Amino acid sequence: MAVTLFFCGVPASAHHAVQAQFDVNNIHTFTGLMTKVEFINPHPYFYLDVEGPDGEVVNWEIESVALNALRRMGLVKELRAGLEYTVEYHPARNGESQGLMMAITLPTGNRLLMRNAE
Amino acid sequence: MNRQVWLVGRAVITLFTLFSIFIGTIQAQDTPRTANGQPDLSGFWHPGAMGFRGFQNEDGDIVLNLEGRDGDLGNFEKDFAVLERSKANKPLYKPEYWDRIQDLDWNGLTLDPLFGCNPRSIPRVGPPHKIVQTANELIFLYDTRNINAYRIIPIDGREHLDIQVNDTTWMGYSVARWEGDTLVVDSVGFNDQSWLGWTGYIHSWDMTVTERIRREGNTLHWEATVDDTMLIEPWTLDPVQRQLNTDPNAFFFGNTGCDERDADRIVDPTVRG
Repeated sequence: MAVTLFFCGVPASAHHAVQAQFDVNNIHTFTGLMTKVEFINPHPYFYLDVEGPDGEVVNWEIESVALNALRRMGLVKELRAGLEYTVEYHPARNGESQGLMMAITLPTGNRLLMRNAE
Repeated sequence: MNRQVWLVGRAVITLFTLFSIFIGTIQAQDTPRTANGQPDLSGFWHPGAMGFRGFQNEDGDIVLNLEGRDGDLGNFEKDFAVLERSKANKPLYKPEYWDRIQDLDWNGLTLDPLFGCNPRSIPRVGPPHKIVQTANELIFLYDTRNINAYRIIPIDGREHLDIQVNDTTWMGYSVARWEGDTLVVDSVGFNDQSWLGWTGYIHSWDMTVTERIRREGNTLHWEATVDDTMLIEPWTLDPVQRQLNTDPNAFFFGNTGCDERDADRIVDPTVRG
């Protein structure tokens, strides 16, 4: 994948406090099958079927950073239903099967990180 | 020896000053003008869709390094709250509004109109992202997250119509005039839903906004003054400068849908950070 290098910051424009909704001190990971994508503002949503340890499949809802950030990278159509992705996310504080995407590994093997710190 | 150091220091300062004046003169000379001699404000004053695209780290990952301490999104919002609340330049509200402003500041996470799918409003949106200037009007265009916006601003000497003054809108209605090389834009007809800033700065239907826009070379200088019956005195926001985007491929993203779904998922609404 061709990547254009721009060493500058993302314009400061927060939608809301992520820590009010997500546990930003923990990052969990799963691999699942994308079942639906919604490229909407203020945040896109991705829905993935994930098989748990007990074999039960749960449809997770993963919220993304601002849509325009994904659009600038030309990655919108890299994220599509029917393909398998590995998602690293901050879990929702409400205990539901929801999370805030911090990284996603595409079927091509490319990993998209939402932040620099590991 | 001390005198020699002093003389060298003075010489450096003098040279630097002369150089700055020279550069300033060059910039002023470079300001393009229209056929009728006014500064030409036309241009892209925003990255648009050609902004930050991430970078590749040593592991080959594509990194969208969101602004924030240590590249951490959580830190960005925590620090953002501190920075916003510690700004010295604040609007002075009449005493009867103090409790409400403070409550909105600390508890207004989901009440901030930018939390939902509302347009970014005047003056909170800042300088126009693109300007198209003709002899009789200016078109201001805004590439904003939820919905792209525009303003059609006559500059032919007309005044606001009564039906505009009496309307309630996010972007207001504007007329403009030149004061020397500064474009002065007067706006009326606002709703009372928009905020002037993140810190719960509300306003009434009576708000008027005066923007002053000046071009020096490829730099656009913007400042806005708000007058409102809720304020003790008019408030001038911190000035903003924007550089001309000379990328010939610059464009605005098209509109997409907007649906705010997070309000009922927030566990702690007092965390505004």
